[in-house]
Amino acid sequence: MGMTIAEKILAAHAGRNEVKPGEYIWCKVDATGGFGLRQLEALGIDEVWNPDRVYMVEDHQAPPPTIEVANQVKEMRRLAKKYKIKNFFEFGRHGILHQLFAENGMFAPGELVAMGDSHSTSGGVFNVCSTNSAMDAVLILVFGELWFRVPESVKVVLNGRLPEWCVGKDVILKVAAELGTDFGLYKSVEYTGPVARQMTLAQRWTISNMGVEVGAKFAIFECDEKTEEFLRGRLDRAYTPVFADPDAQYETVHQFDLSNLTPMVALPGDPGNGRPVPEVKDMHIKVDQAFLGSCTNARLEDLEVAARIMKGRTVHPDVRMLVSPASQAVYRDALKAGWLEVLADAGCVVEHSTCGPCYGGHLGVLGDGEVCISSSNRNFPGRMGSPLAQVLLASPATVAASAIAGEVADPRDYL
Amino acid sequence: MGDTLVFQGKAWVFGDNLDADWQICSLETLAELRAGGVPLTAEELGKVCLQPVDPEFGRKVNLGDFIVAGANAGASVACLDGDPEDPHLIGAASLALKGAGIAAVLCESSNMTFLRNSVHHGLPVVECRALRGRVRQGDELRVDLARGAIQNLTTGESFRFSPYPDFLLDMIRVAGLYPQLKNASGSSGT
Repeated sequence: MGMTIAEKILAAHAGRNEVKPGEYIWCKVDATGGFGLRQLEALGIDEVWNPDRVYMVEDHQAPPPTIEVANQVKEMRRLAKKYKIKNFFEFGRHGILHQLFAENGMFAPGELVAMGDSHSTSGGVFNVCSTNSAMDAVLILVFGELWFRVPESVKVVLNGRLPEWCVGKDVILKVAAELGTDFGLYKSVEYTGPVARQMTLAQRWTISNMGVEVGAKFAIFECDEKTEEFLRGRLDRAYTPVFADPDAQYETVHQFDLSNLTPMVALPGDPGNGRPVPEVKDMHIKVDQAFLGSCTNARLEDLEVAARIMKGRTVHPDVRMLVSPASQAVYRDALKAGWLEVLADAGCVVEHSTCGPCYGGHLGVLGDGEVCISSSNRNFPGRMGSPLAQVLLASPATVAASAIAGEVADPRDYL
Repeated sequence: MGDTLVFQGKAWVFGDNLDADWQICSLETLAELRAGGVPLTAEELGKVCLQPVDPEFGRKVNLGDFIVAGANAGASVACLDGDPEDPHLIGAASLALKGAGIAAVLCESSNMTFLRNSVHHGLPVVECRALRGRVRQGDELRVDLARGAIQNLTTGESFRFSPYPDFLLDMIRVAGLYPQLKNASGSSGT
C-alpha cells in the first residue's frame, strides 16, 4: 500500500518497509537541540550520541535581559563545551533557532529532527519530518533515537495562482480560518499543489512554521529546486528527497483555490481568526505597535518587502515599529542590501535577531490595552505582553502598511 | 499483590481542552511559588494542582484517583507545559498531577506534548473516545493499563482502549523516563 511523505520518512528511520498510523515505533533521529543536557548531566551521563548533530543557541532571551538568564546562558556554554557541541552559537553569530540551525545545515530532505521548541515544525519546509520534543530530548541525546506514534496524514492542496502581493502568511491565515486551528491535531500535514510550487522557500517556511498553530506534528513540503538552492553549500552529506506515493492514504484531503486570495489578517485571540484585509480595513483598527520579526516572517525577502513599502515614508506618529531579523546572517544581508537603512530612516527600531517581542519576553512588550500588528505566529491574550493587549497577525507587507497608516491597512494601497 | 499497572480509584470529571499551562499547573501559581521560595517539586505542585478550576482540589483528591477529561486533555495554547524560566521543569502539569496522587488521566483525546511528558514522568494518559458522557463525578473506576480495559464499577459499564506498547508500560512501571535512564546508566557499570 502507498505511503505518505511522513510514513516513508518514519519507516526509513525505523528500519522498516512500511508503517501505519497509530503504530508505536522507535526511530533514529538525525539531529536535535541542546535542551536536555542539564538533565543528562544530572543523570550522570557524560556523552551524547553524536555531538556534531546537536545544535544550541539562546535566542529567546538574546542577549540576557536579567542576571538569572545570564547565569542560565553561562550554564549553556559550559554544557556545550563539556559535551563537545560544535554547533553552539554565540551572540553576534546567533539567530532564532529555526532559521539559524537551517542556515547551518541541520536539515536535509528525508531526515527526521526533534528539538525543544513548539515551532520546530518549521523544518518541514525542507521535506523533513521536524517536530517539537520536550522531556524526551534526553532519549535522543543518549541514544539518538525517539519513539513516535505514527500520525495520520492530511493533504492540503494549494491550487490556482497566488495574486501579486499575497504571500505564504496570507495562505496559512486563510487555511487556518477555513479549517480551524485544530485540523492538524497530531497529524502530519503535507502541503502540495501549484501554489506550493509557486511560493518562494521563505513563504513555504512561514506555513511550516505555523504548522503547530494548526496542531500539526509535522508540516511538510516537497523538495524542489528552490529547496536545493537554499541547501547548496550548507550540507556535509547527500540526501534523497521523499515524495508521497500516488496511492498514499490520507485521512483527509483539503483543496484550496487561492487565485482570488487577498491579504489576510488574524484578529486577536486565535490565529484562526483570519479575515480579508479589505474587510478589516473598514473597521479602522488603530495600532500602537507594529512588529516585523520572529521565526515566522523575518527573512530577507520579508525585510525587503517592508523596506520597499516604507521607502520615502515614515511610521505613523502614534505608532512604533520594531524590526528584528530572523538571524544574524539575515541581519547582515539586509544591512548590505540597504533594507535596514530604509527601515531606520522610516523611523523603525531595528533590533538584533531575537525572539523577545514575539513571546512578550523583552525588547518591546505590550502594555495594557495596546494593539499590535505582528508578522509573528501567536495572538492569544498575553502572548506579547499584557493580557489586556491585543495582537493581530499579518504578512510583513501588511504590517509595514499598517505602521504607516496607524491602523490596519492594505499593502496594495502602498505599492 | 496486584499488578502495578492496574489502578482503582475515584473519578474527577472535567471538560474539553483542560489546559496544562493555565488550569492543571498554572504559570501564575508557579510564579507565586517561586517568589515564595517554595521548591517546585511534584509534592508542592500537587498541592496547587488544578487550583484555577477547583481551589480545593489538592486537598480533596485521594491517592490513586483518576482525572476524566474530554477532548484535547492537556491542551496548551501557549505551548509551554512547564515554566519557560526553568528548563528543569518540563511537563509541570504532569508533575503536578502525579504530585496530587493521580493514577492516570483518562480522556477522549489529548495534546501530544502533554501525553508524552506525562508518560515520561510515569503518569499514564489513556485516550478512549467511548468514555464521553459515561463517567460521572465520583464514580469508582478500575483501569488495566496493559490489557487496555476500563471498568466503571459504579455503573457496571466497560470500555476498551488500545494499550501502550511494552516499552512505555515498562517506563510507567519504573515511574518514568529519568528513573529508567538512571537504572540503565547505573547498571552499565561505566
